[in-house]
Amino acid sequence: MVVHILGKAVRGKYKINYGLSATFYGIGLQSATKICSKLGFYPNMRMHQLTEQQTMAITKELSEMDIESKLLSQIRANIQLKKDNGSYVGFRHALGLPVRGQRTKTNAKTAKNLNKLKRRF
Amino acid sequence: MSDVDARKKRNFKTFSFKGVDLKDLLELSNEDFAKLCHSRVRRRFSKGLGYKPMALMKKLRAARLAAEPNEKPALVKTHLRNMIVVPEMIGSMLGIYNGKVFNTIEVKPEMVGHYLGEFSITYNPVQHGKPSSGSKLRLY
Repeated sequence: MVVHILGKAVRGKYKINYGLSATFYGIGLQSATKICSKLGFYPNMRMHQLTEQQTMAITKELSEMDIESKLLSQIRANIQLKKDNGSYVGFRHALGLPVRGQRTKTNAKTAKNLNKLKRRF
Repeated sequence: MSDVDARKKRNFKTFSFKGVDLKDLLELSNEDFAKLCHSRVRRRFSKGLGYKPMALMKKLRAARLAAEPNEKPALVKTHLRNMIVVPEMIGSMLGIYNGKVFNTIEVKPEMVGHYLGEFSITYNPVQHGKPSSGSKLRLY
């Protein structure tokens, strides 16, 4: 059984809070649990047990939050702003190097892979 | 053309620092401003800035007064890389020393709460396979 929420497939056997946090960027266990308690799901409820109405309610909650591409574009805008200011943080992002004073003689792999002005996630 | 204008309008963001608008920010005293900032800045202000930044602020004020309306104030050079950008500095032209030359910046509202040194890089970024430009500092 697969449940579709906001065009994304979530496994039916997952607990609701876990399923939401595993599927959507910007939702962790904490905020997912908050949504569940707000909509009145009992803690061990599974995805496949959701009725049509409840799925709609979740969709409505999610559409009001800053998640997925909305959140990503916000983060990218923040990085771009730092670069436009001429600040050191933006400069390090542009170079693809660690931002907070870490060593670069060795390691720094995460930063070299990820730190970009148009950051991949 | 109108399409472009509309897009610009949509992208336009009003500046606010920790929920305080630019207009209110300019009227804040240094103590009130420090309360908005993160703890490193708050601690710095609680310890006192000393006399050196005061001299800089005095020069900035003088430069602002001497400037003609709708023109940028004169450049004020400084070595104080550890000075915090306070709202009063917004709009000023600063030459920040990087150990060799004074890098010119114009203080924007977004810079508030940062150190001056963050806006004047002290090293040449390494370029592999190209002859280094030597004396000339190449900023991204």
